[in-house]
Amino acid sequence: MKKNLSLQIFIPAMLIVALSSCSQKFSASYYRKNSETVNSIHAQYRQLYAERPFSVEYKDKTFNYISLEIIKDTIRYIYKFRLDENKLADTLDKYQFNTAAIVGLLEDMRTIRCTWINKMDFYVNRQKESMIYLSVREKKLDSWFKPEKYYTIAFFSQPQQFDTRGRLKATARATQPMKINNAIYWKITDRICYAISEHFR
Amino acid sequence: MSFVLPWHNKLLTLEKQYIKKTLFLFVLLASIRVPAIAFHKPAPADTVNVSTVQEAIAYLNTIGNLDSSAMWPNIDPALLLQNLNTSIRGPLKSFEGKNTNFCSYTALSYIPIRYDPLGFSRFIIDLYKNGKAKMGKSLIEPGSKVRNAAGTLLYKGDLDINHLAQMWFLSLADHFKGYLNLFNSSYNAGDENRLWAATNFAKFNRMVRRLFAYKVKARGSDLVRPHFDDIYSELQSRLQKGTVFLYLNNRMLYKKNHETSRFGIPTHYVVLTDIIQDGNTLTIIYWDAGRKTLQQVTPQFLKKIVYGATFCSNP
Repeated sequence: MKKNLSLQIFIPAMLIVALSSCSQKFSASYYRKNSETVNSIHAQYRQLYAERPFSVEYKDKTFNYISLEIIKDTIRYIYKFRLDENKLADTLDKYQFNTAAIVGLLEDMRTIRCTWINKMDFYVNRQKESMIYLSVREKKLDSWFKPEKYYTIAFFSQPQQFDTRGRLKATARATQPMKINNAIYWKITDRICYAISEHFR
Repeated sequence: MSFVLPWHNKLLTLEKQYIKKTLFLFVLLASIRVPAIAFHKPAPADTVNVSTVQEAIAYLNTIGNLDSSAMWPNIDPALLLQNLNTSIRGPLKSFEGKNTNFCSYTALSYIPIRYDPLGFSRFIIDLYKNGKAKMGKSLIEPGSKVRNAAGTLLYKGDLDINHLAQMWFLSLADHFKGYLNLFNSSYNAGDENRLWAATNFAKFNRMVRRLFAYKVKARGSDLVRPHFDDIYSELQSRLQKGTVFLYLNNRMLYKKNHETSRFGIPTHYVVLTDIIQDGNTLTIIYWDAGRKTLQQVTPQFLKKIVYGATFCSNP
């Protein structure tokens, strides 16, 4: 009886430890394995965004449908397309985007299952800073018992501060980690961080 | 052959009584909670401006510099004036901030900023100087926890540098309460992201009625979607005569994850500013979190996400 009870406790505990360590290992190694593609997506997006601000979302698991958000000073346009639709190129042309470059970016995003890319502003001591972040749908993060999680990689425009555990913080003096978009970011390099989040945006 | 035990009979009778009572209570609650006023009643007069931007700017110019107020220790008076100037001069810009439950307060801010910038400016200055001020039928007098918290909200995007919005939203959330706020009615740090700041449909309509001198008609509820025969025609005709707020299931309109749930609930308020029909495509233009957004949807999809529509017009 005692043996059965200890097994009942031991096996689920081992499962939980195994699952969590898998998630940690994934987080640490993902960027290293895919750095070339991820850095390339970041560079392409940064250049294209500087010309005309926009963000892109892959809406489905098959990565065939996108939502394109075109950001103007006073209005945001949200359009949905199938990737093979002519309307996509027509719309990009109409808003004077570099259509070929955007299509290339979409292809690269698809290869690493990147579901969302955007640029976001945040404030530290009332000073505006910005980051480009992309969220990846990764099966290794999925669990039967928990909602789907996303691996978010953020590229900051300036070097950041981190605590001893490698968590992003607002200033050198700050004692608490800084939450951006409700997520705690962990250090990869001085300017690149990752977060595991239940939201891709 | 079947037989029924005596206690079983009693149980069945009790069960029937319980069902009857529950049904009666449900019907009673539904009739109170859902303001079932049809949109096709005679239209009221058009919404008109109470004051102009020029009048508001002239008023703010007479103030010059604002002294710091002991009532709001963390509000920067210079930043407050700057925020007020920016808001009333337009274009209506980002306001709500990220990861807060302030969407209802952002949506209703459309009315005073657009139609009565002078009244709004006077209200904010009074609130800052005296710690209380009257708008419409409501005397807004936030508690000390809220007054101390205003100006300290961080990592919320543009809200970090918008002390006007922090003061205004926290004051509204502190003053107006609905059933969603029952279990968290007193402000504590971080409550701007929690149920303390949430707004159910009845509370939203009550806020609009009490704060502004408008006739408010509402259709919908927190759980059951209203029926629209022709959603385009109904919303379009109402847009011609006043301001239309929509209470939406934002998880479907603006996805943040790929979870699929059979039970949709409304979580977001926007101001509908235009709706255009082209075949089976509706182009909706709405003021969301202080920014105008244009999106194309089908009428079926729009019906699926709209849980409430509030129409405001002059009395």
